[in-house]
Amino acid sequence: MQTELWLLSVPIIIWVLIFCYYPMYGITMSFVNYVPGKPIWQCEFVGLKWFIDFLTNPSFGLLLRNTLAMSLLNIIFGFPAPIIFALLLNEIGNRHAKKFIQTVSYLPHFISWVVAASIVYLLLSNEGIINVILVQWGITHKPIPFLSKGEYYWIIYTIINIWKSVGWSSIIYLSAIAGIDEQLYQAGAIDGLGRLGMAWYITIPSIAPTIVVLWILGIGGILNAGFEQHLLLGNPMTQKYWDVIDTYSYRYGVQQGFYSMGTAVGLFKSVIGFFLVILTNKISKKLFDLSII
Amino acid sequence: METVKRFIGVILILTMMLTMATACGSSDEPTAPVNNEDVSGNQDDKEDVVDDDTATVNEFGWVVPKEPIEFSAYDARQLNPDEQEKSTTNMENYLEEKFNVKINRIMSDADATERLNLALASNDYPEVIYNMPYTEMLKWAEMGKLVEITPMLDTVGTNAKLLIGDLLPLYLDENDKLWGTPIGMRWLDIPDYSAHLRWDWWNEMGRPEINTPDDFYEVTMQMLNEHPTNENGETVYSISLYDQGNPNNFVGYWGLKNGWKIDSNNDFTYWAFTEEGKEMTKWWNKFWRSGTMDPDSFINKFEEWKTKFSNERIVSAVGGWWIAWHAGHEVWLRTDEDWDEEKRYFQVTFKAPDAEAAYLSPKDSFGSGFTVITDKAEDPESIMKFIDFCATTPGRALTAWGIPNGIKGDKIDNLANWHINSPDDWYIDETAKKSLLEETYDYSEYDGNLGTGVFQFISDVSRWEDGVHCGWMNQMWLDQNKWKKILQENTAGTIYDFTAARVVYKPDDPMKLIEQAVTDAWKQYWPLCVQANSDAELEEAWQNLQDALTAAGIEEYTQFRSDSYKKNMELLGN
Repeated sequence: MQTELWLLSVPIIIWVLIFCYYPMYGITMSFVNYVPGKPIWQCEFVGLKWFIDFLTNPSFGLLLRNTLAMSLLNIIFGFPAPIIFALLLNEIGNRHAKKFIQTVSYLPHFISWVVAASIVYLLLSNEGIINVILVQWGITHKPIPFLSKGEYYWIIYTIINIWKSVGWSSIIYLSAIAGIDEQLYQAGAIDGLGRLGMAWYITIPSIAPTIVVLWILGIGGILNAGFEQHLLLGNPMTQKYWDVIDTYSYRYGVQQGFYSMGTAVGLFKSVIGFFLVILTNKISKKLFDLSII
Repeated sequence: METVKRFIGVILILTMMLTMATACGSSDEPTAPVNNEDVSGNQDDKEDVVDDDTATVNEFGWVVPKEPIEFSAYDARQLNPDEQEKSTTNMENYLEEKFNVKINRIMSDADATERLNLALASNDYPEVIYNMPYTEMLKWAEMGKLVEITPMLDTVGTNAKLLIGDLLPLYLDENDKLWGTPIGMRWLDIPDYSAHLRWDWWNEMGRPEINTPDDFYEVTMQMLNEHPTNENGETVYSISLYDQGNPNNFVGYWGLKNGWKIDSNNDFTYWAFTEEGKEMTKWWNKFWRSGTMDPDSFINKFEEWKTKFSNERIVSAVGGWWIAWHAGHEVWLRTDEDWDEEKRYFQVTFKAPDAEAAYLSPKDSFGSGFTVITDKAEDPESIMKFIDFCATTPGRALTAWGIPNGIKGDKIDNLANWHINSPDDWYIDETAKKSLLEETYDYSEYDGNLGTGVFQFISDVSRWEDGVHCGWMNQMWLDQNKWKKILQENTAGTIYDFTAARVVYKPDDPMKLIEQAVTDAWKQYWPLCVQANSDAELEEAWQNLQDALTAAGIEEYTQFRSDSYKKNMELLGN
């Protein structure tokens, strides 16, 4: 039996080695002055130059602030949103209504960010629908510059992110809920639990392992605060609020041809993410006896 | 049952492994190019050009080789292959039929620099790359990927040498080697940049004089008073921008050159550290504080802005001369049945009272890109022969104006920009000329079928020796076109040669990062100056702009630009 399982795993292991581990030799690019076309080992070795350059860059503080702020907003509001949505969806009795809502909630996931950005412009520009309503109803005297005032950016970004991902991300929780033993609910009913009580005492504890796993993985991606979203939703007037590590790395690394710097920034992010995963995993193991490793 | 399960399991494993092995192995197999996005070149066997004596000469004066000259050429611009397909195919077929030159044009809508770097890293590129930036060309040359052009200039490249002329020293590397033929050399005496106002409304007002920025402001405000809303009752704005506008250009009205104040020692000062720059900003701020400037000026994308413009919601604009042309009457003549030619925007020039002149259109003789022959070419000389032909008069006409003598277009049966009988006997098509003068020229029909500009491997954008013709069909006979004539007259004196201000970066030049940081800084902080609601707010925003620029490294950048300018002045013999 073990042999068969190993044999079944062989292609996957090979796939992982080829496509996940072999390309990792490219991280050595961050320690040299890479010139496209030259083998990496023939490029000038510069040690930690690109890391130091990035960390001592005057923009670093701003980039880290924006990255962490948007990531934390996503974790605080974006992480529980699909859980709450899945719990609410689970409470809908009508099967057809449930399916309809579920399907509609998936749709934003399939809308590209280009289209989403156009929708946002139509809604939130100075002449957008929301401003027209606000002015016509006398709520404000003049349009609110949602898209050109940086202070609004994090909120807008978080809302759109939740809108786009809540339905899709809820799938995993819905499937976890579907796997809960029906007898637990029957026992709960006998013990006098209402719908809220069943959700609180049965559903949430039953899907807790799923929540913890996704939480740990989510923490690992704390330095991933979006990329193309910002290039599409943002503009120079709001750049102080949307410029994150990835957009900086693209502008200065890829577009200017400083691939070594781009790689160094990517490696920096990965290392931080790796340690955060380990740390969160340890904390989770200690507090909840749940872990992914 | 257990045996069946095992059997199925083993079969599944074998199938998966086989599939993977096939997928991995297939990358080594030669594959036919799937579409035009494939940068890899055609490495089919190529044969030498036959002895010229045995070949025929076509009407262009080209000695048609018996064996075809074949090569692939990557056009290193961000182009949509689908949009270019018909025009490209027509020209490719024409060259094959008339010249026995088979070119496979490769295009991509991906970022060209990224594409070139990828090609270089993967060693997968064609025999010819054109429209390649100078810096990229030097990088490729340094990597030993290019064929040196210099020795061929005196053998098979004499026409190219002649066309490059006195600009040659500009293109040579540190070792006096030429690695590519320049595209878009020199400049044409047409403006790039201007302020625009509604012509019909200006006439209604009795054609008030506009000599200074304040005059322009006043006239704009008066126009707005007369036309506060459009036909649909939507608000009309006094002025609007898209994609930020560019203070480098705006400050030209205050006498600065492309954003720089240059003193008698050729030392530069960046506009944001000059009084002129501040005055320019105050002028924009005046529009803002009047409450009449489009509030979306700094977030408009071109298409959204164009819609506002075409819906008659913008009184004035400052930008490329073509924007008001394109978004104004060129739209109205198609959409407004009652349109008459007076309903349009016209170009206005003014300057600040203390400014020496309005410097609006900096011109760079250097050109826009280069055509290089790579080490993949088995017979670089035969390719150079064709590039050299492109530098002759019939070659320039063919590559700029497209296929001559009439072909069947989508709407026009005998479609042509020009006709040729022999190298010395050629003329412009009367129908094309008439439609250009009457402004009914259908660009999609002509450009979409004739292969205009598809294979410009070397080009000079200035007017030809006859003083009439040039590479752009719509920039000839300007004096015979009423509106172009007004454009030329109203922007006279605003065009200037700024070749010496060009900069060349080494591939890993840290100055590129500083330049990007400077751009980031003004893009973030200058709009806040324009949108200040009081003098105090403006002062604070101005200080913030200067601080951001200083942090970005403006001092170092300015010094670099000054030094580069002085060096170029020497090279150009000034």
